[in-house]
Amino acid sequence: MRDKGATAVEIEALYRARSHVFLYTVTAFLRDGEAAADVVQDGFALALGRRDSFRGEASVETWVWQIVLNVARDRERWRRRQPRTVTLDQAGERMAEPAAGDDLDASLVTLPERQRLAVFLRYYADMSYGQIADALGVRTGTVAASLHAAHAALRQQLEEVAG
Amino acid sequence: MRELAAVLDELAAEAPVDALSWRDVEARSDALKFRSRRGRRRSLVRAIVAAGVLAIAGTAVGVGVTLLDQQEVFHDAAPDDPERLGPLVEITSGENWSLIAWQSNFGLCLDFAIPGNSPFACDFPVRGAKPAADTSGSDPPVHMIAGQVSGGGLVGGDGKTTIFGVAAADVAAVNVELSDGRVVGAPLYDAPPELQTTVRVFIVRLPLSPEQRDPDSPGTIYGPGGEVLRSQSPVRAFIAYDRTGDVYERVEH
Repeated sequence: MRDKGATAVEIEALYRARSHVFLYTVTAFLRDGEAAADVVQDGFALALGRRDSFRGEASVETWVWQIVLNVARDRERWRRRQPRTVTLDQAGERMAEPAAGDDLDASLVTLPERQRLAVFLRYYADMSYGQIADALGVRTGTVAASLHAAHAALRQQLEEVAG
Repeated sequence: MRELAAVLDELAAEAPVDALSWRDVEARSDALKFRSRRGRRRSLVRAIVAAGVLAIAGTAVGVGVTLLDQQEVFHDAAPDDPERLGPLVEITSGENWSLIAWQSNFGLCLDFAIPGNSPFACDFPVRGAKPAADTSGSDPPVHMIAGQVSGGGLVGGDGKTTIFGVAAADVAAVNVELSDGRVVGAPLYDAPPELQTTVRVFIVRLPLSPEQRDPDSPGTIYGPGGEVLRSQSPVRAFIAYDRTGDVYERVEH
């Protein structure tokens, strides 16, 4: 059992070893690499500043994931509240014929947030169901159900495209 | 599901790994300690942003220069800010804070200035808040009222969070309905002639509970592990009244 708090060295070590994984995950979630980098940097900065509040109930990495994902969710909600402007060029791109894989891409976007995050954490971060559950603040069974539902939805989409 | 792996690889392909820097993380963490907001989250449209020339402004105010002077320095040092079309004009002020307005190509802008920092907001979608020279390309203003909440960290030393905004000329009174159910009246100020607008400006400063005073996201309540327990703006709605006391418009925030 550790004493309360994480150390700056632990958080820096995690950052140096795994920040790219955080970045991939948040990039997929936000679909915006620049915003994702900002979120990851902010998330680690928050973790660094609040390291004394870490209770050791999960790993330092899981705790940082919770913070980074919360920042990402906040960013996503903030973005949804903003007016959107689409240039003529962008509109033209959106109207272009979809490439192979775009249907699956679109299906990913429409998955519920928890399912998307579960898929991303499983794929990019190679996390176990238990780790994903801790990061998302849900039960392990919920993760299993979320991943099952996500894969079922995506598989159906693939079959529709093929059929 | 090989196809899914391909799509996931593609989704992450634009991740700017070069942007990752531990030194930047440390700098952001230090900035949070100073409870300031950063300029990187700047968005011109209906958003609070921070003019982040902390060192310059902190020094300037420290030697007795006014917050108006500080804001001149801030905006001059931020070429990405909206284009200024007129002078900075103080609407009202208190101890260590000042509400400053200016016309821009995005319409009327409001700075909530405290020593060393200043969130500001532009492009209020309120009738009369846009100049003829509006080049922002944003939607035409249709509301009677619009407002913003400054970062909870920008409290000017007295622990109060600031809510400010713009109301149309014929709005007679403004109430701010908070997420905790409280309703507070916000004083209305006529715009000084230098601003060449008929809109009115309101500001209300009130204490939030300590756990709500997050520097980046006021209203967010964190658990002991840093997890977000609740993320909700402290403002539920802005309410504009006409001269007879009837509700002109209620705008959810």
